[in-house]
Amino acid sequence: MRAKHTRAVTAALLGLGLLVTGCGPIAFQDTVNFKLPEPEPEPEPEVSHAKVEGDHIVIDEKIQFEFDSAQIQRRSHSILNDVIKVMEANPQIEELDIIGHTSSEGSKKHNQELSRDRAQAVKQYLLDHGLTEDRLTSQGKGPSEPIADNDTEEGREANRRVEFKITKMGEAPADAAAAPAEGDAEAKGGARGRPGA
Amino acid sequence: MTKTNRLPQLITCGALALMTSACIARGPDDYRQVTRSLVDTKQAEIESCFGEQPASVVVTFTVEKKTGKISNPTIDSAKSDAPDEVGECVVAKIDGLALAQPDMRDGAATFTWKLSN
Repeated sequence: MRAKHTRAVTAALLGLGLLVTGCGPIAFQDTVNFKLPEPEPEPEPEVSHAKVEGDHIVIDEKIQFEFDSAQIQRRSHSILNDVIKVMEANPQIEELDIIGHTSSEGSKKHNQELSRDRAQAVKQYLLDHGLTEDRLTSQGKGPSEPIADNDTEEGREANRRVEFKITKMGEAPADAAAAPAEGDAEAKGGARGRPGA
Repeated sequence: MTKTNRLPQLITCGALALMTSACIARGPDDYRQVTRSLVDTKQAEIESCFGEQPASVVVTFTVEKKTGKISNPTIDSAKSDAPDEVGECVVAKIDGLALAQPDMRDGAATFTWKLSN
């Protein structure tokens, strides 16, 4: 009888225990992650193909033409565009002479005409893209002024070139910071440089 | 005739009856998942509470047993590093949300919202 009573009490306590634990709060936790967007990469600074050096506008790549032709290849347009930017940033350059040169390969007469036609084609491109006639001249010098040895292909390649010579330079503008005489397009203007003239 | 004390059996049966009544009894992980799904319905709004700097907000709240409602959301200042207005914004977004199916027990939840690189 006593054992029966004990079992009954135990069962009752168990039942109550279940009731209590079944009603207690249940703890849990979680983390929600958000990600910041990747920052936009800084744009690559534009490097100009042209700059003023002394009495020349120097370009870092050759102007390319179609074979035996005065047709300017499209890939050279960016170089000429940079020449235009330099001219626009330097209004004190009153006259620029565009000079075509060739190697000694072929006849002198043919080379003379080719160099003249090529210089004229470059001048025309500059005129078509904003420069004025009064600031530009052009001429062909054929093979008469080599800068390398015509006996090697490398030398001949170097001699086939277009030269930009400043033949008339005026006074620099009063605001020297706006239009420096030397320097490339980076220094002249754009998002990272001083404003141009 | 011997009288039998039926009280303990009655208590046990009553307890068992209550436990098997209409309420759902979830385990901790299930409770976490359903609560997570609930607060995720406001995810975009909660994310907009944050600025552009890494920060975290830790909020403790109760999921009420009979209604499934989120109540008493409180920022744990010791564990949170976000500006006050961010924490208040998060609290405002979750306060009052309710589970479609309440649990038979209160949920004691601690949720962290974290913005990082």
